[in-house]
Amino acid sequence: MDTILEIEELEMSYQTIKGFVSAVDNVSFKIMKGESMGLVGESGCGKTSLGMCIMKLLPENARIMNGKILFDGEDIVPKTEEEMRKIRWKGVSMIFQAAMNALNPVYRVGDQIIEAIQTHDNISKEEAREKVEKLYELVGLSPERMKNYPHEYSGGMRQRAIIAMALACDPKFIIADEPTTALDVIVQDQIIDEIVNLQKKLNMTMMYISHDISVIAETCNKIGVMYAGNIVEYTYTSTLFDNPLHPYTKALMSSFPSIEGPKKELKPVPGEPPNLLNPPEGCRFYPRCSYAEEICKKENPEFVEIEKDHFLACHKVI
Amino acid sequence: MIMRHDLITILKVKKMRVKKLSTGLTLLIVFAMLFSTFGCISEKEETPAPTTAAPTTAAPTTAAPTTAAPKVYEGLILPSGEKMAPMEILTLTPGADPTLNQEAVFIAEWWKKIGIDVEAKAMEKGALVQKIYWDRDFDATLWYIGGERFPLYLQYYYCEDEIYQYGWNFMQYRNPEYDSLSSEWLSIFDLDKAQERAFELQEMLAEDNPQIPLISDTKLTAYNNKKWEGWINQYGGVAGFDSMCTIDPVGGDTDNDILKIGLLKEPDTLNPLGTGFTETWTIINKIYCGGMWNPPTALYRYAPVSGELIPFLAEGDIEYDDATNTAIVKLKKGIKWHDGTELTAKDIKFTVDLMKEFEVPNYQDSVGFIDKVETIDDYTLKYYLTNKTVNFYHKTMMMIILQERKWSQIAEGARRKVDPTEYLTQCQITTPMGAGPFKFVEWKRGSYILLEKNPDWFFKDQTLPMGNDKLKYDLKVDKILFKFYASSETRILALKNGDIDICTIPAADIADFEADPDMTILEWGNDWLDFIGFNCTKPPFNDPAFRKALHYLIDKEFLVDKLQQGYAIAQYSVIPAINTFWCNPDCPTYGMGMSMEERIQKAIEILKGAGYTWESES
Amino acid sequence: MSMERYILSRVIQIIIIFFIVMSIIFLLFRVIPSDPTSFLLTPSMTAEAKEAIREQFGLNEPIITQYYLYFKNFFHGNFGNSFYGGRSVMNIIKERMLNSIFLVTTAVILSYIIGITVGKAIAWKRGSKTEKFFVGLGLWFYTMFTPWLGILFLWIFAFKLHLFPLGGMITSEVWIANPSLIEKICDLIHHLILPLITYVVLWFGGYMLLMRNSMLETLREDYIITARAKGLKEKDIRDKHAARNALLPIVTAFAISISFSITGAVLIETVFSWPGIGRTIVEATLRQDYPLVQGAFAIITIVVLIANFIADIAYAYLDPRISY
Repeated sequence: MDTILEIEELEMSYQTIKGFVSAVDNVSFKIMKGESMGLVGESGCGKTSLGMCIMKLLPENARIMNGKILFDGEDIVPKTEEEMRKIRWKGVSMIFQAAMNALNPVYRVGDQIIEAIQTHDNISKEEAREKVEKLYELVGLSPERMKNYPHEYSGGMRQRAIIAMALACDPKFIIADEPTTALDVIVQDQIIDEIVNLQKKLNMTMMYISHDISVIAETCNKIGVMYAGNIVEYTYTSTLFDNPLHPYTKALMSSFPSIEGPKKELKPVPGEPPNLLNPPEGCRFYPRCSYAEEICKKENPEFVEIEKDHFLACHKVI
Repeated sequence: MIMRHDLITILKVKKMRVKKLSTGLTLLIVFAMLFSTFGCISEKEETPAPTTAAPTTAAPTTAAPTTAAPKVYEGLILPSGEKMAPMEILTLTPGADPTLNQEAVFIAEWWKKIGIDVEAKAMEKGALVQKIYWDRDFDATLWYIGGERFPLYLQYYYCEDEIYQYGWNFMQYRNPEYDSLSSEWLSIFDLDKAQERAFELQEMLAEDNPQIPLISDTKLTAYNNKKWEGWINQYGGVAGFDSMCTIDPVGGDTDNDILKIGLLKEPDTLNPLGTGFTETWTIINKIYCGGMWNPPTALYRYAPVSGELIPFLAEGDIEYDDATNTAIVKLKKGIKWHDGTELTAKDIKFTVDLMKEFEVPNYQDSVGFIDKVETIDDYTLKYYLTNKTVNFYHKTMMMIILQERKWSQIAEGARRKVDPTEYLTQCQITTPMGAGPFKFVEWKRGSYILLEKNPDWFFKDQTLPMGNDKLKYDLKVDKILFKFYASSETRILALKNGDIDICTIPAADIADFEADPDMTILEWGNDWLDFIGFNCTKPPFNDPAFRKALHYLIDKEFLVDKLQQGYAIAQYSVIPAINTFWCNPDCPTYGMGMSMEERIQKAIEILKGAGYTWESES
Repeated sequence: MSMERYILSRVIQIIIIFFIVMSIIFLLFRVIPSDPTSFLLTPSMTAEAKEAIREQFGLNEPIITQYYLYFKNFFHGNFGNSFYGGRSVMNIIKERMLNSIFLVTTAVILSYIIGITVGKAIAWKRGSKTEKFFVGLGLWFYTMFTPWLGILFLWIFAFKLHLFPLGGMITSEVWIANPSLIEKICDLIHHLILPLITYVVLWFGGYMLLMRNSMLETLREDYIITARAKGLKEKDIRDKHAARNALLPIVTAFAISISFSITGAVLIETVFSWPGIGRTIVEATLRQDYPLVQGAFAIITIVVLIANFIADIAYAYLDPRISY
């Protein structure tokens, strides 16, 4: 199996008036072709930042301090904006959250997708339109809707259109950033089904970012659990659910209801995530960890493969 | 005014939704516009502090320590025993007339010294006129008078007949003796006798002080001495009728010598019946014969400099018959209208009849006393007057002359209108037909008016005596281009740049022009004067002693030297001194040469004598 | 609501507003304690003549009759005649308005284009020295005193360097010599340049800052990230996605500024002796030429209302989210 994306010791910080905020810290993982990786964590843990790092769509005050992002074997960190421009959408595309203003309100939705295709593929507008029509059918939208403006779509339709847009250039890798957040549960379900279907149909390689581990469990075959800029556990979904090792993973799993499986009592993760401007020494989770020991306060645990394809960063388990 | 606010508004509202915007903002904008326009008006209401040194420092406070400290007079009490109420000196806004405004401020300061609670109050012209002429609701006001070579206003400004609501005698000066002397004056045709009577009248006014003459400013005109020479500095200004007909181009006469004059005000109309503006007459008195202001040149005119009444279109003197109150006037032969037809007695009769029929407001003083006019032949007119009046000489003989051919059609149209007079006075004359030295060519509104020489002018190459010289009306000016400028600053730059040949300049620029070898400056006395008029019906202003005391307190030399930097003449008669024939040079010169301390002493003395007291005294 | 119904309701609104505004104008000029005929009096007038003049101008009528006549005449397209010279107000306004439109519209459009282009560019390069320079420059010019800059320009470019004429709209000497149409146009343009530059220098800053602010806000929007993620070219992101949305508030500003600039031109028109409507209004107001002032304000009110109306329609066209 080919590696599509390999991230090595990635470190990204935001420069603020108070100092550097380390949003992504020492993150390493791989995604193989056809795999779908879920990235789960609380808000502010750095999962979206990580996604943006991969597209190199970072705000001005963000800086990749260290590490490599190998996409298709090439490190994109040193690439210029113009080089990146060619990789974007064609190489890596993104499914944005529909609740946000991801679609430009003043252009027709269809035109916005055509625009993406024409930027990357040298085809006529008519051909591009036909392609978009097919994409619309693929995501379950009527092609007639192409001529409508974003505000004329419902939330679910908009999300489907955004999915169609992400698929427009047949990207090698898709990042879905909370695509179902803010949709009502039924629509959310439909969209998730749609993504799962497409993934199977198109053999998409993707990274699915969500704070909802249950959603990720449905859509991804691998899960990375992120906490305060670190990935603390990364393994196959089934492994993770069978045998969650990191205390945070465990806490997270019990804080969300499972769509399938038996009902159980929900327990919120106690405490607050750390302030990344001044993260605690040692393991970043120790202040909230019920298993914390002396060493956790002093040393940040390394992210190691404790068994095949199961990576973990925790002193206690090792 | 608006420019600053508007974009701020725009910045503020940029996030607003459109629907609210259009409704709210339309109103807002219109209000902003209205407010700013009216804002200008009300802003000026406050009179600014004098810019020059305050008159208080003029004498007493800085006097040597040996002199006793000046006595302070406070709270003037009238002979009736009442304390004098606070008074206002009404004046124009600094924007409308800076000189008048400043004069009021100084005068208020001086009058305060004898314990009068007085303030200068600036108003817009319309509001001021309303107050003094309409409502007669004022104590004292700054105003101006003059502009006429023969000062007819010596009668109508002070006579009882003009006390009615809109009448000219806004001071409501009542003096039966003056009335009879002045109306009699209007029927004295003998110049020397008339002069004598005018002097007498002026003395009466100076004694009674219904108004206090102040100063006349000296106008400055600069001209480009590389273009034209031979300007005549005479009554009414440098760039007058006589100059235009007699100046010579520097460096030889050509066929296309254009005289360029810069004006700040564009004329309102070319209809000579519809305008009383001096600026307009500056232009149209070159086209028509006769009219108003800028000493008109019609059947008769005033001689250059001397001001004597001499025939112009007329031939010889007026034959006036005292017994029948008729006059025979003879017209020169061969006077041509600009279209080549001859100007005859018929045209003149037509004009008088027209004025009478339509009661044209601006010419009522020219025809009001004329019963009828007959044409004895094409060159002889016989006027039948209802009463003997000098107006016949100074108004009727200088009245505009209209071409019967052109104006009979206009009159015909006017007769069919609801308001014939309105139509006649307001109709637009696009091609004025005159018999003057210049023909109308073109009026490009907002930019210029072009006149060209009338080669067939009846007076071309003839002469008039001027002092010991002769003035030859040789019409070297081939074209006159009146150019309109919106600001004095631009006009001055245009003069220096050679875009125009002559214009009035402010005194502040005099050094700049003196340094320029291409420029020559001419000073000429304004034939208008500023005065203070009192409300002679309101105590204590009805008391001549009180008015005299106030006259003593006005330091006219100070106004001339300090306020006008010497470019003015102190006036002691109601007729400006520049009008040498009619101005009485022997009018009492209240307080001339006195220090302020002496002036105060004098005023106090007069007031005490008249029974006035002060709160500070008792 | 459909577009047609919206337009209809707006038209009705406009008519109502117009009535209100015109009534206010009518009243404002009549509550001033001042008589307009005071400017027309000459010593030659007898008491009857003075009375006749008041009558002629309808000033002797009761105010309610004047008000009725005012609207009645207005609907006959008759603004009356100026108190000064008796010219038809409509003619005066037509002539002056054309002159103003010639100068002001050119100036507004030019400063708008320059302001928007520069504003767009500096917002894109936010934080750079170029941005700081232009913001400073814009503010400096924007706060500058109009007549001062006008006179300075006249002095330098017209008086010292003789590059342009000293104000006015045409060179009289050229026009009296029967010029050809091309010469006339060249002469007009020659006169237009200096006031135009002054105008643009003073005004582009406002638009520039407005555009910059609007643009900076737009750049924070999510669809800009989408556009970048799609790998669009910088220029397309800036012009198609950012500027297009940033323009929305500016469109309204443009409509408003068109109407403001008519009166805002007063100072420029005075400095450059430009025979426009701004100067006419000031002059007419100061000498209480009621018919002219009323006519001019009526026209400006109409222009303002129409400009806003057009802005609304344009806004609806530019922003598909607006539905009526």
